[in-house]
Amino acid sequence: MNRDREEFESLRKLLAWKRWEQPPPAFFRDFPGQLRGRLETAREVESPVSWWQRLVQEWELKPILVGAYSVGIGGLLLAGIGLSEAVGNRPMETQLRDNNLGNLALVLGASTETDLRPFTLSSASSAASTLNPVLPETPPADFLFNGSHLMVQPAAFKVGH
Amino acid sequence: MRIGPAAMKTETTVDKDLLSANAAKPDDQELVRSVQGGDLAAYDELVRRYQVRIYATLYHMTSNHEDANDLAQESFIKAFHAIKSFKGESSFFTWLYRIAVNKTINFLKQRKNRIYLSLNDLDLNAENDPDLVAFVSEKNPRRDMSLTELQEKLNAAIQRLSEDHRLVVTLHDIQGLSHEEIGKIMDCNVGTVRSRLFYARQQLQAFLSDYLK
Repeated sequence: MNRDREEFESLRKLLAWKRWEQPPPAFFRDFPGQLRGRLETAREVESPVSWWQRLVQEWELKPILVGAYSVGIGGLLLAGIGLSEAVGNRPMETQLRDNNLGNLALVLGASTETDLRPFTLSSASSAASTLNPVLPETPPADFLFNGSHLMVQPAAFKVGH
Repeated sequence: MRIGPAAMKTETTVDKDLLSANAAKPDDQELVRSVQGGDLAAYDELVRRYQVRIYATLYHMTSNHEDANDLAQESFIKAFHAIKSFKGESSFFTWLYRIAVNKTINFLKQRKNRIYLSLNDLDLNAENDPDLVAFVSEKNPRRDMSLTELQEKLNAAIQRLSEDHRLVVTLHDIQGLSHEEIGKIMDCNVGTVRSRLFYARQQLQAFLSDYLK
């Protein structure tokens, strides 16, 4: 009985010795941080942030970069507007020449000076062409529906004879 | 509650030095409510409070530092995800312990027969422990046996116990929890805890008979 008690006491001391086993010194200092990282990763996986939200979050931290981007984009926009206005004010012929559309007109047998000019009824009569299907102001003499040359055969129907 | 002498010493010092500050610290229930409202910082505080005890239990159950670290992290993560369902019927500590213990028992059942010891170093103060010095000099049949070898023999003997018996020995004889606390954690009555403890000690005495005579 005494021997059992003595052995039990020895066992108790031996087990108590296990309390001296300690993890590396920084373990408990780093543990909460590691855990926090894993929790945040798990949160991101559960509710993934869209690319737009990520971009906004990124920009919130970099106001100077955002300002630079804004100025750049604004400048490009203004330059684009100015350029389009300058191009719109030039005559059509110049635009066509600049855009090499004059070459197309030559291939089709048209004169860039006349045929590709904006049409008016007066100019159309002098420059009739397949490229300019515009009726002249007065129809030609042999026009199909010209009243003076139109031959009409009267028609009559009698019933019973 | 006993944990490890170094940790215990630290906690005692902290308790004395910051007695007034601790009075202003939120209790577990308040922190749990904050976490339920999505406050991660409050959970950090709970982790700091219980990491030493949880880790120590898992380490003594596995005798492997890496496994104990992984299991402790997974237990805290599981507790965080389940905290909304915590109603406060038991203390947060008991609830957390139950999660950690269940996770560890499942892990040990899967790991069966693949025991790999990865023991922590002994605290330098161990050499000044009079009980330990006396034990090594008087009881050790081979006086030249190093502390490390003795540590390995002890851990190997503990690993030979079943998971339930190992848990009872760990919680009671190493960590110093009461029978009632262990009963709550293991979800069994005090009588069962006592009988398991008795049987586990008998087993250990048999495994370590050469070192206890």
